Amino acid sequence: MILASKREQILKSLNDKEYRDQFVEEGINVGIAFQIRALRNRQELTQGALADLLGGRNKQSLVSLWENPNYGKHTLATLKELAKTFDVGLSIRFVPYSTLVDQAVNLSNNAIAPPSFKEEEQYKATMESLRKIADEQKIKVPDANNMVDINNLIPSVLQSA
Amino acid sequence: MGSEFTFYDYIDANESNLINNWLNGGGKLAKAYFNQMVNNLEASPPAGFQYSVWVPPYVLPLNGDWDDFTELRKKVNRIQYRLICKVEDRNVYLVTWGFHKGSWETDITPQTGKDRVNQMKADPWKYRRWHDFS
Repeated sequence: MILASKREQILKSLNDKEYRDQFVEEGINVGIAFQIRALRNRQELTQGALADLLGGRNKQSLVSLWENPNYGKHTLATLKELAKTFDVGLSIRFVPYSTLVDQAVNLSNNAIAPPSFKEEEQYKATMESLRKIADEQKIKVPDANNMVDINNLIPSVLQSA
Repeated sequence: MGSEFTFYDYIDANESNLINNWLNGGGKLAKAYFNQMVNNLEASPPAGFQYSVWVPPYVLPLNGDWDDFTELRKKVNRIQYRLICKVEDRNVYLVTWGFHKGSWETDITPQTGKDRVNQMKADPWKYRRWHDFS
């Protein structure tokens, strides 16, 4: 028996228009809820602390709703405020289904809770230091896009040095 | 990627994927929700870790007869759809489904659920497949 890949399975399911519509809707509802919770945790904030940072009429109970995958009533204004507060980018675009499928297939923990601007700057600085050591020792260092990759690189570079 | 957890569907003795059959039949209205949940949970750290989502409202631990099992829930048009699974280490065994419309309905007993988990572990080639998203 030949098993279809996850990508092929999702693409097959999208032949059904009703399912396609639900796939987009639930992708947003579930994905946003997971992201808000994961970002809040990554930045070590309680729901109440996040509500305080957002200010205005935002309460802990509202943050709790936003993190519920069954909620599905997030507004653009809320998402923009959250992006500012977490200091992460926000991309809302109409895209081909193939893009959605690629995102689903390649979903990772780092994609759910992306680094803030400050964290990205720290990655760059760490990577630069690592490259400097590697250059001095004349060893090649592959590109790394996140701290997990960089942490994996550090022992091999230091060992070579 | 989904490197944190792996979801498996139960395959019966006739090589039928009972979970996928239900998601394309009686559970069709909740299929997109369940598939998106499985995809996100597969990429999420396990319970006890700082960023874990293996807690309500993402998943609900069952008690009583179904103790040790966990479910995913979705309400559509006043019907509550449920996917029931057993989480062990980083493997998630999807054993059956259920409805809640006035009263709780599922096609198997808790003991059958346990038997299915044992079958999926004892004979993985026969009784389980990676979760089918089609």
